[in-house]
Amino acid sequence: MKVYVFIEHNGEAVRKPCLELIGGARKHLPEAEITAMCAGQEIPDRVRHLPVDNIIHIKSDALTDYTSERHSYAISEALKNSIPDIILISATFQGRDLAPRLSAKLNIPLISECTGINVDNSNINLIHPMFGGRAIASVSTTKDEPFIATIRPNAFPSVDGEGNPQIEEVKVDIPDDIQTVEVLSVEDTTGDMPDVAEAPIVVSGGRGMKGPENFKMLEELAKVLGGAVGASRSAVDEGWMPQSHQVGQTGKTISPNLYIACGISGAIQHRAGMSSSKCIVAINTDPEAEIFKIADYGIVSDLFKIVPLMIEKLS
Amino acid sequence: MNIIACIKQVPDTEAIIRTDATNPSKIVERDIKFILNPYDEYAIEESLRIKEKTGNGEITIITIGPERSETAIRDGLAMGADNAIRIWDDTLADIDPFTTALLLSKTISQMEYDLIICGKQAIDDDYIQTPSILAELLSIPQIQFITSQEINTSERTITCTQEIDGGRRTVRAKLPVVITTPKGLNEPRYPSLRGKMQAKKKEIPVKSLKDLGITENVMDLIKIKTMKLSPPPSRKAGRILEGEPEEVVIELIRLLREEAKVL
Ligand SMILES: Cc1cc2nc3c(=O)[nH]c(=O)nc-3n(C[C@H](O)[C@H](O)[C@H](O)COP(=O)(O)OP(=O)(O)OC[C@H]3O[C@@H](n4cnc5c(N)ncnc54)[C@H](O)[C@@H]3O)c2cc1C
Ligand SMILES: Nc1ncnc2c1ncn2[C@@H]1O[C@H](COP(=O)(O)O)[C@@H](O)[C@H]1O
Repeated sequence: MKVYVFIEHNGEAVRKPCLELIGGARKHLPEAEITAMCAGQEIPDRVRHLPVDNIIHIKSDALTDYTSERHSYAISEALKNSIPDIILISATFQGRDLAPRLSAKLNIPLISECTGINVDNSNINLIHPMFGGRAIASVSTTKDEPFIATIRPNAFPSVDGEGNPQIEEVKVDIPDDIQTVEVLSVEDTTGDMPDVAEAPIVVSGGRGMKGPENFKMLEELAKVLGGAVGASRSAVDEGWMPQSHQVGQTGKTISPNLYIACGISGAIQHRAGMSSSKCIVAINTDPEAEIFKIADYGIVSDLFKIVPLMIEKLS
Repeated sequence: MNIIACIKQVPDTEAIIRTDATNPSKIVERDIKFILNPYDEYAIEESLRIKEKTGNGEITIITIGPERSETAIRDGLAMGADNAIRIWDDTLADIDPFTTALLLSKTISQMEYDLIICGKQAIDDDYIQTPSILAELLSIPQIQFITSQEINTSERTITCTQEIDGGRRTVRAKLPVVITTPKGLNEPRYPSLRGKMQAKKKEIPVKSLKDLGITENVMDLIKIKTMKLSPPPSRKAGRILEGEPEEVVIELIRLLREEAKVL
C-alpha cells in the first residue's frame, strides 16, 4: 500500500501536525510505503531527512505562496499518473482549504476532520466526530478506490529522527490564467506561542476570569507549560480574547494532552471543542459546575489563588 | 451584486444525539429541534451587509434539504434575503459533501451570480468540505474563514482577510468567488416583524434532480458514507483535589507528572 503525506511548511520549518501524519501512518498502516509530498519552489532542509521512504518535491515558483487553486492544480498534475492509495493531509488552515479542492480535482473521496484510523482486515475506516463530538462516526469510501483523509492535530504521535528517503523532484507548469486568489500579505499574530489547535497543552479562561487583564496570568502559565491560551465563547464575546482563541462548537475543536479550564462552567457547546483532550483539569469555585463531570482533576477554589501558585511551582 | 447564500438546517447545538436502533449510521430525529446552521447565519448576515453597501442585486438562498428545512430558509428570508430555492428528492437523504457540492454547482451554474457565501462548517456533519469542492466544480477561487471583506464593484474584485494558523493573511480575487464565514465576522441581525411577515408569504420553489438535469443514480455519485455512529467515549468525573491551595497545587502537579504523565 502507498500512503502519501502532505508536508506543509513556511519555507523554513515543517509544521508539527504533518509529522503526526507520518506517526499515524506508521502506527496504523505499518506495511505501507510512506511518501512525503511537499510543494514549493524551495522546501526546507528538514523535509529531505524525514523518516519516510520517499520524498516528492513538487516544484514551481508559483507555489511560493499557498493558494488552494495553484496548490491543488500542482499536486493533481504531479500525481495524475499514479494516485496513491491514501493521501493524508493535516486539518490545519491549509489542509482544510486544500484537501476538498484537491479531492474534487482528482475526483477521489475525501474523509475530513478525522481523529483516528481503524484497520480491520483490509477495511479501512476513518474516525470522524460529528455533531460537535456528540457522536463518533466510522466513515469509509463507497468504492474501493484511493482517497484523501484530513487528520486533526494531536490525533497521532509525532515522529522525530531522520531517514534517508529517495528524493524526486517534479517540476510543474502552472498556467498563468488559472483563476486564483492573489496573496497580498501574511502576518504572524501569535508570535512564539503555538496555535490553540496544535498546542500540546492549552490553558483556557472563561467568564470567571472577570476581565481581559487577567488573561496575562493564563499566558504566563501557558508559557511555563509550553502551551497556548484558549477561551470560552463568553470570554471572546466580552472581547477579552480574540476569536481565534475560542474553544468549542463555534470555535476550535482541540485535543491537547492537557486542557486546563479556568473559570469555565463547561456548557455543552464548550465541551464540544475540548472533551477529547487527553487530560482535563478544571478550576472553578462552583462545585456543581458541569466541567467537573468530565475533568480528570478538579479544584473547587478561586482561580485567582490557584493559577498564580501553579505558575510559581512550575517555574 | 447577485449573491448566493448556501445554507443547511442542522440539529440545535444542545440536541441530544441518539443513534437509530435499526440503522446505526443514522440519528433519531424525533424530539430534535432543528436550526439554521449557526455559521450560515453569519453567511446570510454578510450577504445582507454586502447588498446594503453595494446597493443593488439580489440574495438567493439555496439549500439541499427535506421539507423541514423550510423553517431555516424562512429564517434567512426574514433576515432580508430576497429569494430561495430548495433542492430535494427522497434519494438525497444520505448525500455526502461531494454530492452536495455537485448539486449546488449544477443549480448555481444556471444562475447569474457574483459571489457565493457559505458557512465555514455545517455543525451536523462537521466536514468543512462543501464550499471548497463547490468552488472547484465551478472553477472559481475560494476564500475561506474570512475575518473581513471589501468589494470593489468597478474592478469586480474582492479583498478579504482570513484567519490562518498563527496569524492572518490578506488575499484578493476577481469575482465570482466562494467565501466562507466563521464566527466573529459579524453579529447576525434579528429578523424584524415585517421581515418575518414577508418571509412567510414567499414562494420557495423546490427543484428535483430531474430539474437539475441529473440522470445518474445518486447512490453512484456519493463518495463517502457513515458506516456507524457511536456515542463518544464517556469521560468519568475524576478526582476533586481537596486541601489548602498550596497543597492542592503541589498534588495536582505531582499527579500531572506521575499519573497522567502529561507534564
Ligand atoms: C449556537 C451556540 C454556539 C456556542 N458555541 C460555543 C463555543 O464554541 N464555545 C463556548 O465556550 N461556548 C459556546 N457557546 C456558549 C455556551 O453555551 C456558554 O454560554 C459558554 O460556554 C459559557 O462560558 P463560560 O463557561 O466562560 O461562562 P459561565 O457559564 O458564565 O461560567 C463561568 C464560570 O466561572 C466560574 N467562576 C467565577 N468566578 C470564579 C473564580 N474566581 N474562580 C474560579 N471559577 C470562577 C463560575 O462558577 C462559572 O462556572 C455557544 C452557545 C450557542 C447557543
Ligand atoms: N445541504 C446543503 N445545502 C446547502 N448548503 C450546504 C449544504 N451542506 C453544506 N452546505 C454549505 O457548506 C457549508 C459547509 O458544510 P460542510 O462541508 O458540510 O461542513 C455549510 O455551512 C453551508 O454553507
